[in-house]
Amino acid sequence: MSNYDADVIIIGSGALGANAANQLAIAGKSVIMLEAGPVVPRWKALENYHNISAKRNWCAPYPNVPWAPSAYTDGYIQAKSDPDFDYVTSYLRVVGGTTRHWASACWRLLPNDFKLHSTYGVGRDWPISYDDLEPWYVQAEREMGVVGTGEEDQSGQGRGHYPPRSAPYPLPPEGKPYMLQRMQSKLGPLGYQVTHEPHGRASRPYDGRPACVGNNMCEPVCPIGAMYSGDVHVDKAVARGVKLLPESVAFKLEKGEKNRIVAVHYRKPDGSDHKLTAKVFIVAAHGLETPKLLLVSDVANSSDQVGRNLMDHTGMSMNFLSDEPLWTGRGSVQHGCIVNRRDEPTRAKHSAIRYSFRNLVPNVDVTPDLLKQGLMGKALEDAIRDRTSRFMNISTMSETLPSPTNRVQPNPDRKDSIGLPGLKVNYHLDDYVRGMRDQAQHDFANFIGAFNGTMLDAPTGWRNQFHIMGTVIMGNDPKNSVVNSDLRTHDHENLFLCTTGVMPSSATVNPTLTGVALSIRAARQIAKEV
Amino acid sequence: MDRRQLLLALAAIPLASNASFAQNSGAAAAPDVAALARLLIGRPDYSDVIIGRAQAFQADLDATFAARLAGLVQAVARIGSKDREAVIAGLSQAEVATAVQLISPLYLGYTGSPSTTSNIDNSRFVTFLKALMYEPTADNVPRPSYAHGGPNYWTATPDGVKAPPMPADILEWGDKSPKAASTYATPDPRYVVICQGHAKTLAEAEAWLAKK
Repeated sequence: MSNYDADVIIIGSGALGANAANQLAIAGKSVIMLEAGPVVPRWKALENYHNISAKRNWCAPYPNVPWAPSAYTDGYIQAKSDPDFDYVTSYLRVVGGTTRHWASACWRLLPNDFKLHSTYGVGRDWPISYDDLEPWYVQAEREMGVVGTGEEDQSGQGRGHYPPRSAPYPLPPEGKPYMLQRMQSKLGPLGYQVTHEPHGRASRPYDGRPACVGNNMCEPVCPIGAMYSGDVHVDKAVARGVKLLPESVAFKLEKGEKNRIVAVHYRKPDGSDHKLTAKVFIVAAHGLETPKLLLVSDVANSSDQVGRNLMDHTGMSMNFLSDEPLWTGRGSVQHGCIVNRRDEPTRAKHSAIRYSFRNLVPNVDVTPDLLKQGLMGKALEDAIRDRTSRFMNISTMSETLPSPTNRVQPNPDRKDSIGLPGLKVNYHLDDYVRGMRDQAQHDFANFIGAFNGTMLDAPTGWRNQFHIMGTVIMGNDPKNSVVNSDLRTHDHENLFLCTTGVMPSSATVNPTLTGVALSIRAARQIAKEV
Repeated sequence: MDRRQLLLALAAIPLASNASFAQNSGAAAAPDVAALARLLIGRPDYSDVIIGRAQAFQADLDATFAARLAGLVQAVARIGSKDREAVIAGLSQAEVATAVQLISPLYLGYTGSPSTTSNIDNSRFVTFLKALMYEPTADNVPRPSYAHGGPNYWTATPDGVKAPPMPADILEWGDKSPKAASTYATPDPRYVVICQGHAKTLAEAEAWLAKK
């Protein structure tokens, strides 16, 4: 009879933790998955969306429970940033995690993203290469049902079909919206290639999910379940015997002999404490919550790098009115982008840039201003139609570098309802990311100029994209990194971290697919050992 | 998750983050206010319960609203027209402000200012299915979360649009997709100035460049 409660305990039920759980269950391991937040069925999140006022608040349709505050809970994250930039991030603490309210961009990193320092002399290299991870990208894409084309150069550097792939995307690309047809027609002659954005919205029925029909609400919840989200693999894992414990907040990892982790302590909403043991522990609790748990537990931090090197894709955004109807909002919330500046030699000097075309139904953006102008009657309704048809948003995903001073720490001055600390974040923008500003503003000028546009919101400020990386950074050297390439902590042989926080470079693409690929890879390794 | 676990979880689900759900106890608007709102929005059968909710929430936000609304009712009565555009044309600037205050929630579906980054704000839900701002565009874009067409409806040219000439194969992704020029265009310096935040319009940009 086993002396453990499970072979593996996973803390966190988002896409990364749930994929690890599923792989371990397939391998026949006993798994317990703890989740701080509650179960929220899709229908409930959708019903909540219909009945809230803040339709552009991606956390609002989800419960804001006092024992697992969300990123938008007042005072939960106390951030210090720059005079021209407020640090804001967005994540959920519910079963299924933050992919419950994402838009599902599923990019692979480029080979150079894994060797940023050796190629460009900045940032850090990964301890693994693109080639090492490529088979796991294939696996992750199949698990998530990624839609894409392998016939484009996702680096924007004229490299043909790139990055190299050993298998095609599981699903073919969806149709190109009229808005993107117009973008490509007008921006192509100016040198900008519009490319398809790989994503997790099924283009035809896949793995029990229906095809996307463009309800234009990926965020905050896909109403029909066409889009991949972490609950897909929670359900699969549970069906395979994984025990899910929602509303169970891990607050301490207990160390034992030989520096192994021997137990996780968790607290229920009623304040009662519980303890579980396992052979292996995986913390998969988001890029900010994972370092918090490690720091309050005083584990995995011999390098003093836990919580440091916080990165996001902090960039710029432009809203304008085109001189022709574009009709954003037809289809899902994003279909394409411009990757020309994703891997240019200028990465040695400043951030790479990827431009993203937003495709949200813009009525909620344009109508308040028209009402403030005092418009009523036919003039108002004509103006809503006119502005909605011509509204356009383009934003950058900008690359940030790992800096030890950009960090997240527990905040003992702010406690939740069960006495656990909030978060303190210190995040400042350095010259590397600020250095892309001039290039971006010139590109933005070409974009708006192509449509003789009227500027609504100039790209002068900074905003996060809520992509957390670096906070439990991966590397070969235990003196300056937290985990190795298997996501195993340097300090504890049986403690693994499945989070995008392990990523040593941010690049300019959404990190979730990379995180899932790494998690599946780590889970397969763990399965061999347990 | 098994059935028991699901039922237990559902029973425990709290309300969503923002305390902005519709108040089921909302009273119907008074007949004169409902009639006024219906006239201003051009929907003779619009729900008096939703109008009443909008009126009550706006009054909660602004202590002067109720009195100004009463004045607006009298002003519209004095105008004496049932034609929406004629009534709007007959209002003073102050009366327009009050009228907009009444009908804004009917277009937007909320009162107050919803936050995109916090679970605390002063907004309140009024309606979604009857939010009028989606109606002028209903032929081309969905009310978010609802279906608008089948897969790929979005590739078609929207209603009322005459598509300019576009490259062959514009609908294609991948190898067949039209290729961009091999060199970058130099942007119009006026738009650079606008993107740098120095000017809002081309004329302002020209003036800024001239000074420089």
